[in-house]
Amino acid sequence: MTEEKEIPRFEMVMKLPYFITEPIKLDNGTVLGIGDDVEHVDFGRGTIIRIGAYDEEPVGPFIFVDFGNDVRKELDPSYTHIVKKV
Amino acid sequence: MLEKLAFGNNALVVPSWSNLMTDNANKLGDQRNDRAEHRPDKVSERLSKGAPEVNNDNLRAANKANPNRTDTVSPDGKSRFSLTDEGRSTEKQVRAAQEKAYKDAGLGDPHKPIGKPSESSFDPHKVSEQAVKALNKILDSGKSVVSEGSKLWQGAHNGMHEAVNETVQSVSVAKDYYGTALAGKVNLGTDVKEFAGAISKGVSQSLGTAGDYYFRQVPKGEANLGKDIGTTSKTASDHWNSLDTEQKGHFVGKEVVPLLVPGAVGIVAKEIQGANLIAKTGEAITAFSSSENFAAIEQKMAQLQGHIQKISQLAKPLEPAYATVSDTSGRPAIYAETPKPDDGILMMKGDKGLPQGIQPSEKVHVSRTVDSKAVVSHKIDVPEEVLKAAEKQGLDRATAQEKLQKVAESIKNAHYQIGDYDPKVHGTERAYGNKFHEILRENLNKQADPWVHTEASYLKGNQSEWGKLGTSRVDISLGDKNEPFASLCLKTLKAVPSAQQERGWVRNLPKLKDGTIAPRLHVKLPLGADL
Repeated sequence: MTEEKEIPRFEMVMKLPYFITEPIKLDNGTVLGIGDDVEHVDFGRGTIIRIGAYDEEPVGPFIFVDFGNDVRKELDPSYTHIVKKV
Repeated sequence: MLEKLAFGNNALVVPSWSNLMTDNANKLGDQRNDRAEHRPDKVSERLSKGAPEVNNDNLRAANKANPNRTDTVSPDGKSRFSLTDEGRSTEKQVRAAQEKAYKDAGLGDPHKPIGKPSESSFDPHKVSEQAVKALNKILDSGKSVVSEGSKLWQGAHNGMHEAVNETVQSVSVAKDYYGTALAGKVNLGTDVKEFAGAISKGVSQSLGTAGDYYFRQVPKGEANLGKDIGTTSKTASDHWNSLDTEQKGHFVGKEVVPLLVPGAVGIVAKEIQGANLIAKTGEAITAFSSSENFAAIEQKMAQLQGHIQKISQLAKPLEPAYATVSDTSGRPAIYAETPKPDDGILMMKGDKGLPQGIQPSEKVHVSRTVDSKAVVSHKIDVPEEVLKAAEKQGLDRATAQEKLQKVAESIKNAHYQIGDYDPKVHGTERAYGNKFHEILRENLNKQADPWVHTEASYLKGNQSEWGKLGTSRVDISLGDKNEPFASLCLKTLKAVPSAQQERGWVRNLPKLKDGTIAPRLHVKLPLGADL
């Protein structure tokens, strides 16, 4: 009982995004949707598998892109360009 | 005699110099053989073989047989002959043909007396002339080739020139654009008012928030871009200064904000989504309030309210039992008989609650940043106590920070992969939790980090086999697997660790080298937006 009191416990709170299922339109006019292929300067070409946004800054939206070989990244869509539209 | 020279698609036919010389030499050899036939020894040879001898009588007989010839004898007794017109014509044709044949063969005049070969037919001058002609022909062909090649080159040159011009123009445009964007940042200090003006005209409080974020991000942006911008800054400044205020504001609002503030885009998207939700909710309320059910529910609600008031009155005599220990100490009231509720994840259910006196959990926040390559990273503020525990186990703080960082990233990725909980997709909440754990485990195991272990089992302070009776399992242990410095417990949705789990961890997990208990992080994943 005494030892249980001594356990240093921490609650780790992660803010996770809420997902957007419909295509989003960026300020530059680009429309991005799930399944579109985009290209990133470092990771190459990948497919958007989720679009999410947050309740707090930076709110996004962000795209979650699968680049293959188990490489998946959450990215700001403004820095990618679309290469294939579904 | 002829060879083909290829140049691209143009095949040019020119005489081969070596073949030409060989051909001439062959003709010369034939001619020498002909002349040899008239030598006395050759004549004797032919006679010996029974060939008719060429003499005046035979010739005379042959001439008489020619219908175009008339033989006469002159008064002085000498023989004469004359030819008819047809005969003359025929003879001319024969002579012409003979001359042509000789000429074509390069043998000179056929009527010249036969002498030494070198004097009569092997004419170096003629051979030289032929060689010159052949060379000229080759040169002509070469000129044709050069001419065609020149045209091709000219065409290619023109094409390349155009391409280069276009590229230069593109680069120039891009340079101006980049420079202008840069100027937007460089001149930000003096253009804040204009920017603020653009925002206020602009549109909404949300954009104002984006603007604040923009101001915070500008120094970072300048630092990142500073290496690349040296050559364009002047042009950019000039260009920027040439714009009037409205144009500057327009540019900043339209180009720079989206460039630097992804949040602005998100706010807009969120606003749109919010507006849609509000509209849908409004429609639903309108539809529902006009229905019969609405009145029935309102009536039941009123009844419930009455019941609640009755229950409150009945409960009044019990209030002294919940009296505070000390209402005069100035400290917050502590109820003596009620279980002490820990915040969030440590709230236990029913009689399996945590023992009294356990400290409330400390919240560890995970913040997000977007780097210059647009990658979102989740940074965890690792508690001091966790860092100290890592040091006790022989790990440096940076390594401990990195491992927790890696776990945070993997959790986020797992969430992105599995999505929000949807009963139609995932089934029960338990099934969703199991799937989440499975994906997280896969993500971490693929990284094969020797300091991050998933589903580690322990028994009485030692590492143990998975599933062995009496063992305690943690979702993630960090550090040496035999001597971890911290453990993580992941709880999704409404799941909470049971008291039995808590007791098991205390009993079975290895203690730190100084004998104290390793810290534990409870990772609480908030419900998704749709839940």
